[in-house]
Amino acid sequence: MAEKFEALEQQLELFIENTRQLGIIVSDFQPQGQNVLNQKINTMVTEMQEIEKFRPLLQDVHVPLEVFNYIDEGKNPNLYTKDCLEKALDKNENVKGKMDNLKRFKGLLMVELTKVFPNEMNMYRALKGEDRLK
Amino acid sequence: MAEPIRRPDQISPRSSPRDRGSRSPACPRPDSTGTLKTTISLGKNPSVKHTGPFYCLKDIPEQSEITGSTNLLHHYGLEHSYNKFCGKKVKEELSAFLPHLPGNIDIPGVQDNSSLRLLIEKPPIIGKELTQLSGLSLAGFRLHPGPLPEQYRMLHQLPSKKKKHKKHKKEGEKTNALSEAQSKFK
Repeated sequence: MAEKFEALEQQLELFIENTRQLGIIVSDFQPQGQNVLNQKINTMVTEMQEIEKFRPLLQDVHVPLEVFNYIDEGKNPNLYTKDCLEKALDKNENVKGKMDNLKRFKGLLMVELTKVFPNEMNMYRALKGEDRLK
Repeated sequence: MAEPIRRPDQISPRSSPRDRGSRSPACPRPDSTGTLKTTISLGKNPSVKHTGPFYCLKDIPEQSEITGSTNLLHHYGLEHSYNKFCGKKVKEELSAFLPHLPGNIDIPGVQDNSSLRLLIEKPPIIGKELTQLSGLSLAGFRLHPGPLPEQYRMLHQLPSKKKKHKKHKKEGEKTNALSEAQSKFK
């Protein structure tokens, strides 16, 4: 899996480098550079063909759309990963807090109900005891 | 009121389930757990179950291995990733992630129509075959000699602090180049 990403990355780097060199030629064009320019344009087409070959290998790769918002704003996509992990941890802590508090509440409620309805609570404990054994 | 007695051969799979008095599996029974003190089930094996003396007492759900109180980052082996991304400061700029890309990539993509969102909303034409350009097609790429106008020249250059110093020295050269370019376009 990692190999095909590396291979695609290398191909993209070649394409970008070729485009950059094209930009340099064009920025201050000289007539003797026309053949080189034509060569570079055709190299661009060849490299696009090579990139196209990677498409079937990457059909099953899914990218979350939210990361595109980060890239479009000129931000590091690792910030998206960082935000996801932080949100997951926050939510985890939030839910754990709720569960702990509900368990504590259950314990306190059982104590108070036993004081007010001792017979019913004994019946309840017997029932719950049977259910737990099942 | 006695119901008409049906002969076994009259009862066929095509007959309505309502006639037979049993419930069809296509019509799910609504959840009545906890609403009655007893549960009565009809059918081939009719039975009466006592749900208990308490109103709304439901069965305890089965214990799950993973709950909200489990440390999910530890469970899924993401502690190393968490320390890597959240332990140290992550640089905000896109150029920190892609340092070798030419041009200024830290600006929003909307400014120069290079946003990925636009690519999804308005996808380019695909499916056409990519072929090399012929000599006739390449004739369209014959350029006039000389430097580009100022606004297009900076596109391929990397933004760096070192170049700012060089700009002060080259200001005189640029104004000359600009005036030459302007004269060529006239």
